[in-house]
Amino acid sequence: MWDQIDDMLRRAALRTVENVAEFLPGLVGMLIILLTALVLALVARNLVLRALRGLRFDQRVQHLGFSAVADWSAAGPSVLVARATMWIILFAGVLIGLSALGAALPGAFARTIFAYLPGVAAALLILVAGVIFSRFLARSVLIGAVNQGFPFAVLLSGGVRWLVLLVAWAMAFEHLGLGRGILTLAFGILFGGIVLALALAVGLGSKELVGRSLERQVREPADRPDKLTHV
Amino acid sequence: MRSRGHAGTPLWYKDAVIYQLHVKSFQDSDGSGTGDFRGLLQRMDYVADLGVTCLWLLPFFASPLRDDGYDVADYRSVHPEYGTLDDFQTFLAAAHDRGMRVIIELALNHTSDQHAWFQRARRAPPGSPQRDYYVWSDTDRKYADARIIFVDTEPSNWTWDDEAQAYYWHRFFSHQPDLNYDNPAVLREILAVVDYWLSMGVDGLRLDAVPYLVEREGTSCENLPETHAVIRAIRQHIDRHYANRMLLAEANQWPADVRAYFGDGDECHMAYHFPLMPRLFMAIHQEDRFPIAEVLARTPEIPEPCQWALFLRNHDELTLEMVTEEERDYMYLAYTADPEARLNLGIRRRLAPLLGNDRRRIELMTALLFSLPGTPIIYYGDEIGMGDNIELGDRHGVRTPMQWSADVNAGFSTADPDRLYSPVIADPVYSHQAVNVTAQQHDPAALLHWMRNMVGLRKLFHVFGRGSIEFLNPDNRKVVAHVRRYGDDQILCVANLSRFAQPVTLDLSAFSGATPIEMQGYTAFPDIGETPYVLTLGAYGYYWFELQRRDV
Amino acid sequence: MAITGSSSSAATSDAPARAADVVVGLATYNHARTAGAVVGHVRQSLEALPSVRWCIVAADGGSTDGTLERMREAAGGTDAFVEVPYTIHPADALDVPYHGLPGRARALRAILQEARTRQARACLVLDARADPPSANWPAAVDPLSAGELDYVSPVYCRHPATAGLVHGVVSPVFRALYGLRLSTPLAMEFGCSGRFLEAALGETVWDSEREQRTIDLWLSTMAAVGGFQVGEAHVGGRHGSERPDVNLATTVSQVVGALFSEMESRVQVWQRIRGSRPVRQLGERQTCEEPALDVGSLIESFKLGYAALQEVWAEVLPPMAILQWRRLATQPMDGFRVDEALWARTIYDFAMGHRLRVIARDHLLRSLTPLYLAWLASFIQQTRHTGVEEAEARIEQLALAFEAEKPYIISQWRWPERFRPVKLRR
Repeated sequence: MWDQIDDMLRRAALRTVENVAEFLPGLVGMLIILLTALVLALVARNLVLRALRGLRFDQRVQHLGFSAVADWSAAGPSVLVARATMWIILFAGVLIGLSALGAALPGAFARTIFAYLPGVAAALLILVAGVIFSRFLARSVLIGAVNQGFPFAVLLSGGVRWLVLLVAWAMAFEHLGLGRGILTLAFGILFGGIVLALALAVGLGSKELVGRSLERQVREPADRPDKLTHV
Repeated sequence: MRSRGHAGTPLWYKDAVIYQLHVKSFQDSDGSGTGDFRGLLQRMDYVADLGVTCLWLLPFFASPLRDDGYDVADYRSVHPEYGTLDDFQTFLAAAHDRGMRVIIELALNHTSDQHAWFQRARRAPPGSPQRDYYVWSDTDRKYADARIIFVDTEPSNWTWDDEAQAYYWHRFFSHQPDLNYDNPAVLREILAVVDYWLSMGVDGLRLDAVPYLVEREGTSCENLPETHAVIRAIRQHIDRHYANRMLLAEANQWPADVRAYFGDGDECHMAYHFPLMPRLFMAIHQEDRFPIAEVLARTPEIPEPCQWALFLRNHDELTLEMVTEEERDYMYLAYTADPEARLNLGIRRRLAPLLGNDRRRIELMTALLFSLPGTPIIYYGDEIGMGDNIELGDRHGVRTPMQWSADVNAGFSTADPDRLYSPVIADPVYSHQAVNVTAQQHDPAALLHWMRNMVGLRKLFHVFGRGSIEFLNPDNRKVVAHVRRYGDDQILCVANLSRFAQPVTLDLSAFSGATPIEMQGYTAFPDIGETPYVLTLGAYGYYWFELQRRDV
Repeated sequence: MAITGSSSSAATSDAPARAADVVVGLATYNHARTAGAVVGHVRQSLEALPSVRWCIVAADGGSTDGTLERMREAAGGTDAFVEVPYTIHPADALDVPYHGLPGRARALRAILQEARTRQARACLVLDARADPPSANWPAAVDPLSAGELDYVSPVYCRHPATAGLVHGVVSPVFRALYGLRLSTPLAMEFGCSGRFLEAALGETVWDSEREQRTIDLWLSTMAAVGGFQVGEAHVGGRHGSERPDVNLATTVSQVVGALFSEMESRVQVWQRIRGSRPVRQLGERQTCEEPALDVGSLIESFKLGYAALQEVWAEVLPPMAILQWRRLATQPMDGFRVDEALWARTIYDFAMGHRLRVIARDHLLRSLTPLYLAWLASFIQQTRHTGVEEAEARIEQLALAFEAEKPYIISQWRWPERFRPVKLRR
């Protein structure tokens, strides 16, 4: 009987050792990956920061008036971007590290949830950024187009705004992994349809108008306001 | 990096508008429930936007926090709950970048009983220099003429220490032993602390409890010549090594006694005008200008580079030490229906609750404060009309978290509400749902905008910080009228202390020929002639006029 | 990394700098076409001045088109031609300033520093792009050297409509705010005394991003409010100066933005100044011709802007102003008149919007362009065939309107009207 007990104990011990041995390389691998990611992230952050400072990114952003971005962080937009870069790399490192750990993760369900979370976060981020960016871009396009003397400035800026929003939504859904194929298809059809409809409307409905407007632009640049000296 | 415009302005404190805040209560960045420097850094743009030019931080040194940080355990480190020294330096640089100066607290009269100096002193043999860092005695009968300040908590200025087998001297709490400035080593230590912070770039030091530095038998142990010698030594040290720094004395004394802390311009640059504050409240309650005029008449002239610091409310109780007994009773009757609200010799309430949350009174009091000679101090939260919570003990009721938004914890922290250092105001009138920064920023009629405009207006005219004052004495005593002059600038301030409209006839013959321009709207009023000038003011109304000469 | 021009000097660079009474500075960056001629002209004029020690200082940002070589040729080997380098950051080159000289503030500092080293009593900075170069500037030398004047700004002989942004916005706002009747506050040329350059070099603006574009306006403002004696020199015509490829909206954004930013940093000064004072005139006023300009396209641009930008304007303009602009948008060309008070208030309202950052500053400033074109159209129509005197009288009237409306901007500034109707989501 003692032999049996002894044998069992041995086997149990062996199994534990085997388990640990199986687990250990993964753990070591993860640690190495994490460490590398950390180093990479720090290096990337410093590089990005230096590059942005060199380009005077902060002043530029301020000049453009993305004050909303500046408000989020006391440290300034370039630090914000640099930090985001660092965290993305770190996050990727953690994900890779965890996959290296592989077997140690409990249950498939937890893994799917875990895999899903970054998608949700990314989707939300994309949406928020998309909304802010679409508004800003729409106004830029509007003012730019008006100052270039483009007659359909409002239409153009609305189009740009919706386009950015649509792309943002599509990207968000893509990240969520919801009905990937259908959405891409739907987006393609919708967007293609819009472009086609616009083309038809402009082409058929206001052929002459466009023609005249183009003609005028080609013919009369002589007195465009830009040709005057203002200062 | 020192921002431009500051270089070479040694008298900056005369034109400053100071914002007083506690790191603990401003913004929590890490969800610990206590504010910290990183949080404060996130809110720098708010403060800069308010237009204030100087921040005064309440103590943030390492401390057991039994007296909210005034019990310092280490003069050279930041309390870990508030962040690190790096965090402080980042904050300091951010403030300078925004053109703001920073004043910090130097509690130099006493330390915490946890301070290494005190621990060393109680174990050192009597008579040794280490022991002499503090004031010891075998009897608790010495210095019997010194009054007890915290009458509600402390029975004596002496407390027995078992370890040292002696009594130690403390003017405040028994866990705050007083340093012994008769020991030259103590002054050397304090100067080293001064160097430590000033060389980091700190722009000013508020010297806490400055009248009590030195003790002598047979005196009240306040305002002694030896105490002034210590201050002069500190000032000389600063003048020798640094440029454009400032010392602010906290001396809760009559103006004539405080005057001594300016020396001949060789002691402190600034000192608080304690007696003015209760009299402003008295005047508005009595609807009579007499208390204000009287206290300013009793205020002595001060040397050219010196300046009074003026405030309506601060982190302590509205102190009534510097009023007569009858005046004190009047203040208690007028402002504290609730005996709970009294503490020591004062009233522990914020500005808005004291004034019945009446927007017009808050505006009038602030306008009065801004128009008097001195540098005004705004206590954090008063710019949005925050309330207090007298249920909290000691003076904690006026040190609750800043109300940023209607979110959980007023946007102050993401911590569990139970873990906050102090509950957020829950009173329905003053709760963070009703009173918060975000809401006021979006409300064009909010107090916050009024405050910002007023700060901006005051900063436009150096006459407010630097000019002379001269009271006009119209027959209607419900109206305060005074003229401020500095260089070519002449400003007439008129305020109605009454809750009803009031007429007033002013003798402005000295300014005959000038045109009064109302300063907020830049509106010209009828020219001043030889005849008395008649004005009407609405309830709690006030005017600031620029008196413009026509020929200029 | 910085592009640095050669630091060699035509004169021996190690020897102590020779003192000069008059220093003439030229800031260049790829101006080979004109720079040589300008140096030649300057040299001739300086040689004509009796018993004056002079020196020409060329600050070059590292031109690659042979600008320096042209200038050296024109200098003809004289040891009074000195080259000083200045730095152009790669970032400066990314968005071109309206005057086409990236890093201009640093260039001017290099010139002024050189003038200080040489103990110059007068320093003139001329435009190296001018073709032909400004004449008559020597008129400024004497009063500057004698200490009678500290700062001299040029007046060009040109019809106000050919520099509408200067005469319709910058000059009247400058005059109303700082109380000085200067006709070209942001000319690319100026002259200053030793006292002035000493004071200017003591300031810390030279490396700031914004000032690289608009240092000239900053200098004029400093001259106006810093207690200096200011004069204007009639330097003659200004015709074919080389213009960089910057569109009008960008120019408006840079120039008006600089004006507004200066306003913000000098509140304490301009809010206290009342009225305005004339400046001493040097040289002969010359007559110039009226340009032929087409008003139609300007009005078209305005109408287009009105149709598209109303919502943006509504962020800063009060309803009454919007209504007045609307009335104009429906006006036939003949009766197209922009009221002077309306124009002044519109500019002031934009200044407030700029200060309060109601919308992105760049957007706000660019959206002013169509309104400016409307004013310009109206001005051209009113002064057509009336002669230059009449046009200048109109500009004077406009400046008076800006002065008259100054209390409006002061009150807005001190007590901003924050009331805006709630915007409904469509």
